[in-house]
Amino acid sequence: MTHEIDTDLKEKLRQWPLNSHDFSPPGPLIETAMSHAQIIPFGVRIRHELELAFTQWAYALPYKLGAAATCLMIGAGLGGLLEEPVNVAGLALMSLTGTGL
Amino acid sequence: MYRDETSIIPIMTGVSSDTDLMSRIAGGETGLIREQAFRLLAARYMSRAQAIAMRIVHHKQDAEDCVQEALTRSWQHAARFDPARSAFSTWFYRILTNAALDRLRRRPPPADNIVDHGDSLADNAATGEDIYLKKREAQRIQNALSALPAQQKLAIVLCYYEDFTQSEAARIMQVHIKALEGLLSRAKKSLKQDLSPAPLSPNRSGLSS
Repeated sequence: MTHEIDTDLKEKLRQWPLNSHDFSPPGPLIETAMSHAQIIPFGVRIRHELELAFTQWAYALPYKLGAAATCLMIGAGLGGLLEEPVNVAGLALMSLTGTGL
Repeated sequence: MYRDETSIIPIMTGVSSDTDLMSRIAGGETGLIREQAFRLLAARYMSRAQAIAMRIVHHKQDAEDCVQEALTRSWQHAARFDPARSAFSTWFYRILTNAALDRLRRRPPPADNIVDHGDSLADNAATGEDIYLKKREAQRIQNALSALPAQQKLAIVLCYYEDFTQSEAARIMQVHIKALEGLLSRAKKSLKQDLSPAPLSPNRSGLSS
């Protein structure tokens, strides 16, 4: 079955016109839509956050400073316990190698 | 926010494709750019979206609600849009038509006096009788469309009013092209039947001018 557009019918149907009063101004509709929070899949959100964190030094600065301070504390704590300097980054790499990651 | 507002300029001045804009909206950019991209993209489709919704639900407020729902969903779920699977327009109109069909199922349009055609049909040269006849004809067309099953009506709106190709309309409706052709053929037959009698004369009772 093939349907050919019937030009007579098309012309007839278009005798039902729409006028400008049938349309709402687009601005408020768009702004209302954007007032809702976007739903971003977890994977996409994490990837985006990591991309920003590694490309913009100021992004999530308190978290970065917090992570650095934690590393420092772990290093100092382990250093105090073992009574020798500890390379925290080196330990992390060794543990990753040990677990096969 | 770490990018200044001047970085919006390429979006606003350049001719960005729908897919480019959607990738910005879907979380690839910071808030301000994302919002600008959405405003630009939504504005491209607003008038056609409102016309489609209006033709399906026959009621201004309901049509506005449908468009609002489609815009909100496309904003909220922008990350779900996959340009490899469909064009943005297809994806957006599919959301819109689903919203309109849902509304239609919940509340069918009233049989008469659906839209006031006074403004669109009146012109300076037209006499009162001309306006009345045009109004009457518009009403008959609306009634004939209202009587169609929802899927047939949607097929007619997309192909006869909005000039989508049949393959585009089939993609929007998520039906096979052969199924769409069947819907159009049956709708055409019904419409021809309903619209074939001569229009009523102004002397007969019915719609008042």
